[in-house]
Amino acid sequence: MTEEPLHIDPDRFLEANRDYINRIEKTGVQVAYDTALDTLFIEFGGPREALSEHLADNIMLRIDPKSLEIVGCEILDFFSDFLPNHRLVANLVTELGLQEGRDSSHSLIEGQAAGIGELVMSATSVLASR
Amino acid sequence: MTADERCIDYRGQIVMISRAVRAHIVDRHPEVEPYLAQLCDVLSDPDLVYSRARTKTHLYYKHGICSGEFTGAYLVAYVRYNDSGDRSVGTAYSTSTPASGDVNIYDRYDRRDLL
Repeated sequence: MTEEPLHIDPDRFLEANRDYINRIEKTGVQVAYDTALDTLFIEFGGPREALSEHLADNIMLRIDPKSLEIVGCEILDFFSDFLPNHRLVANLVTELGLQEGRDSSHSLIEGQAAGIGELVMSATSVLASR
Repeated sequence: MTADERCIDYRGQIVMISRAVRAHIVDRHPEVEPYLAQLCDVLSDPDLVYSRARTKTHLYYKHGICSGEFTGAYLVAYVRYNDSGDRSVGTAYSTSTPASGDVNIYDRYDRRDLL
């Protein structure tokens, strides 16, 4: 190996995301399902360059490599694997009208966004402790 | 590059990268766009390969490709396979660390296939 591996400092990461809930209230939360990738994208302020850091079960946090701010979250193999194994999110899928084999894009309303925000925030502790 | 691409991985297996998937990677993971032409290198000469059996996927990791703010990150090719032996790239992204919970099946620094 010729270069040092990139390291995410857990303290810096937590500090960078202390205002996370306030931030996503400003940017809003967009959800998009991409059929070709079978991936659900949850984005704060649209797609942008980011690291994809694995949490668990095909869930990845998207993190700005410079600021370490969370800019989104994505779930791979969403319909083929994640949804059958995580029925708790089925309600959100129904509410948004997400369907396998059909691309779609939505802006979440306040209650939905808050739920996503809390979910992602709790996930940050997993990333910070790994 | 506009057509589907055919790559050969480190075990001599064919892995396809479809035009549609490549376009979607660019849309959703813009940080990977400068390195799309090197995805075949990730597959043919990875540093690490991990298996995620539940979803029938192999994750190929390679250092030394990403630059700028992503220097030191792995470029990852997420490869889906099926029982017929067809393999295709499902997505690609950059990450700091291999995913926890996956099984390491190849490490180039061990100079051996762990399968």
